[in-house]
Amino acid sequence: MANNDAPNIRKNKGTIAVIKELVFLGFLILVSVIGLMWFLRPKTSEVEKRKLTKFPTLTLKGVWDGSFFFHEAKAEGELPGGVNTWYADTYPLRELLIQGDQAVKSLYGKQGEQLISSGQSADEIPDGSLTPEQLAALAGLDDSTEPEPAETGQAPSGEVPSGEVPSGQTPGGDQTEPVTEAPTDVQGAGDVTAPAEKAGDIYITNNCGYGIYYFSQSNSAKYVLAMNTLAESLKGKANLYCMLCPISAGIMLSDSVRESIGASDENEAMNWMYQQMDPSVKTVAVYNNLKSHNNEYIFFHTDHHWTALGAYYAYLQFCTEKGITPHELSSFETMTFSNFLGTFYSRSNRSPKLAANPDTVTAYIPNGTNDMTMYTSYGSKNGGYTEYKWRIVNDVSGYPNSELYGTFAGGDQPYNYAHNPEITDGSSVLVVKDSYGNAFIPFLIDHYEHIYWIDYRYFKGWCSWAGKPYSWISGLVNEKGIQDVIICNNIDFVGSENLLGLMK
Amino acid sequence: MVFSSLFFVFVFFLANILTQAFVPDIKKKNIVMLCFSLVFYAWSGLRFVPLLLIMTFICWVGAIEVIRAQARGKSGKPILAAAIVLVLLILGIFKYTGFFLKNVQLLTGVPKEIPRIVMPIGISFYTFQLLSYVIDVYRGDAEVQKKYWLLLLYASLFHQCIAGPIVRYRDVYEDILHRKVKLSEVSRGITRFTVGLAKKAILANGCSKVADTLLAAGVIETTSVLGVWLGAICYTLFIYLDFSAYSDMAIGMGLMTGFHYKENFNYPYTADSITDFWRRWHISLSTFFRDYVYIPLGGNRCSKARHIFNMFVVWGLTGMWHGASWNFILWGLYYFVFLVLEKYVIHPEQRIVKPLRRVLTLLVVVIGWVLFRFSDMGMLGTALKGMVGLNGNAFHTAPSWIIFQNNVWFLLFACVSVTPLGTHIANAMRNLSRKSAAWFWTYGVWDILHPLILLVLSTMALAGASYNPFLYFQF
Repeated sequence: MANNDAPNIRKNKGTIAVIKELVFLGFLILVSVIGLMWFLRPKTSEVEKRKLTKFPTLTLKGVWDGSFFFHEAKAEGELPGGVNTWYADTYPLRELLIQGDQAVKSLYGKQGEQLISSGQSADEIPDGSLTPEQLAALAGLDDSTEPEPAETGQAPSGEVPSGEVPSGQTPGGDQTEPVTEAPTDVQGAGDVTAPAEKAGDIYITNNCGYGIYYFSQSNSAKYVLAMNTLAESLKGKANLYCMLCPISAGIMLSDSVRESIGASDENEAMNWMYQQMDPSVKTVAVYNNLKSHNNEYIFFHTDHHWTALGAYYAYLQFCTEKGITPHELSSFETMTFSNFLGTFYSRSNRSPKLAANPDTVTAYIPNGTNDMTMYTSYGSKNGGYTEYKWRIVNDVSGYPNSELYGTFAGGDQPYNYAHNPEITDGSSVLVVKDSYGNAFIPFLIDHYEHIYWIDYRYFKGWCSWAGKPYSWISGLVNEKGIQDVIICNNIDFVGSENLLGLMK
Repeated sequence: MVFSSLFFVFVFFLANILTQAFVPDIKKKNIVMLCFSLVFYAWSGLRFVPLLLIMTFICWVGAIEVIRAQARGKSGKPILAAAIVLVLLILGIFKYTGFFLKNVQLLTGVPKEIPRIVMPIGISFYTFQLLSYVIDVYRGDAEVQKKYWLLLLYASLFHQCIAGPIVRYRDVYEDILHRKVKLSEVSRGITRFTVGLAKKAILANGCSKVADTLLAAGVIETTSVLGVWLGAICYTLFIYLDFSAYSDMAIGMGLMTGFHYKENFNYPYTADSITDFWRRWHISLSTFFRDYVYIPLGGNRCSKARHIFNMFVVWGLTGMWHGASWNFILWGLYYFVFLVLEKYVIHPEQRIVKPLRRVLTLLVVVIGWVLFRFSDMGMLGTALKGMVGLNGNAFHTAPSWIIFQNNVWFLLFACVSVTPLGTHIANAMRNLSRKSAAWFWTYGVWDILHPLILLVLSTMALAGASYNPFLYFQF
């Protein structure tokens, strides 16, 4: 049969080869043509929370050394760049392709337990207290801290969802009044000078993510040294509270599971740091209070933050330390937002396990006031900051489901202020915080007349823009006559140069 | 530019095959091909292009002068030697200066500052290609190329310029001058190219991710014994899948445009001896050393001592070729030791049954890749100690176990993919397609669709690799 049909088969084989070539070429051309549609290329990625790579500027140097075409990340926390990177990073169908890739990767193995790791590991936590010289030696062990932002570190649009705050109109429909026109002589709009904080390692089990903490000797020593410097400069002026916020693996997992995944003991780490601090620093050790409530919903499943309830237990500890009476949870009105899929979800490249277990954000509205003033870079086309009237607990219904933690305290804005009219004793507090502080601030409002909070990652840029003669904490304390200063940061970020740089 | 990028596949490569298909005569095809190749090479920095031009020039002049000398009844050997020395000197300066000075500094304390010399991409590959050309011309094994630009096309041809295979001039000059594109070859080329792309974008990158997680600096010290082995095995899989994928893509692109390159790999992980492994691994490099170093030194047709010396030279050079670092030299000499042992001491084919020989060979290869991976001797020590449990870590711990479970099917698939099983299945299907019309068309549909499927999967994987989430907005 084969012999008789040989010419026929040959012809058919030819037909198949032609079809094969046309299909192959057709697909290449299709993908290529879509790639040419520059107007369809996305500029930002909501889920990755970043700007996508821009088309590089053509320079002779870039062509000569090849960086115009492709270059690796120039520093930690940065991304690769160049034409090749731009092409893939902003490809019109990128989002769809990534989702397809994720679907394929979910078939790679059993995904019941997952470890999303970037190859970090923990240092041993030293014993006992060290002399400043010993601490300095530890601090100098390595310089692997996150990169310093540019001088005028501009706030990102933060957890106030981008693209949703037109001038005068907020998503909730309330009127806001842009009070200040941003000056025009600052950097270009949208320049990313905010420090890159890439998501850390996550352990996922039973549809829950847990943030893994790795103790770093050098970062912890740097933190302690900076805290002691700050304590020195605030002596006689203000009370300094240090509240290290634990991340979830240390609180929610049993010690044996935590150890098995290589995570450090957060309690031991915090206690060691507290032990090294100047006696004038009032340490707010929140670990035990949180740990004893770890059967409650104190950390999100799909996000690296604590819930407002977690922050409430930290607040109770603060009240004990300050010697004031905390308010009952039942005394607050609440707002609730469901279907929250946070940073773990995006870090895991949208783990289906986490998608199956979305979070609910509950926020407790302060009794004294829910009004605040914030400075945000959003809405100013020329890269400055705009003053907005905002709400301490904001209604984020209808926001993208990755941004619901943004309900708290205006999100990550460089400088914020609230006046509580219920209190008239002139009391004031400054909270120096990262996003962990956001959920804590609403509870603090009812105890002070003047409440200031700054996000240490963006404060310096704001100072520069606002023409302040300082760009550090004690400068603000002096200007406003602040009585209490609370450093409230996530234990994972003790090495942040942005924070340490403010603690003069 | 790397093959495994969306820009390469959907812009550069597409433009290349379209122009090759529509540009009419061979001269124009070659001019266009040369332009593409130079752009491809310049993509890693225009600054490296002059070097490629100069080295090609040296060998172009060298070969012409050799032929002239031979026409005058002389041997041409001094000219050949001068060309070889010049080309190797340039390679040496760019590739080995830093390494050499670092060692001198360790011994003598000078120089204080070691100049940072950036190594031009692909220099090791095109240097060897050019050397093979000029030597072959001298030996009468290849015709001299009078046109500089055509020799430049050979040296810079983007299919193989930066990652091999090391193609001999005598194997492609016919294609350069008279290539014809055949439908059946294009069809095979499409399959080969997409298989290579998927091998790189999906399998190699996936294996590398697991290996990197387990063998990273700062992690390997605490990785369990099983974890280090898992990392080493993933690295073993990665290095073959990655390297052979580039050769697959080169061969595939060649077939699509009328070039014929020899196979560079032949399922090296199924080798049953170290000798056999090196017949199957990076064939174009081992045959280069065989033809231009080993045999000229006398090969094995000499005394035992001389033979061992010849092998020592070849494997020392093979190690050095892979990189300017002691671990690569160590890796080359490691193979030298096993090859001498096989040849003169163990004679495994007489004493050990084949399946066991395969396992032992693979074991030697895996440990070899550990040597290959760590240029930092401290980390290399940690890795080797970790494999035998001398780092004080548990035999197995949760992190490596979780990583293994998360990738278990993927790794199984990757293991199968380095064996000839896929090829056997493809051959069986092809044979079956001759049995009946139904099978014929089934096979035909498969033949049309599977490159497309691989291309879609690879595109998704390459886009997925750009996924880079941040904790806070970086807008």
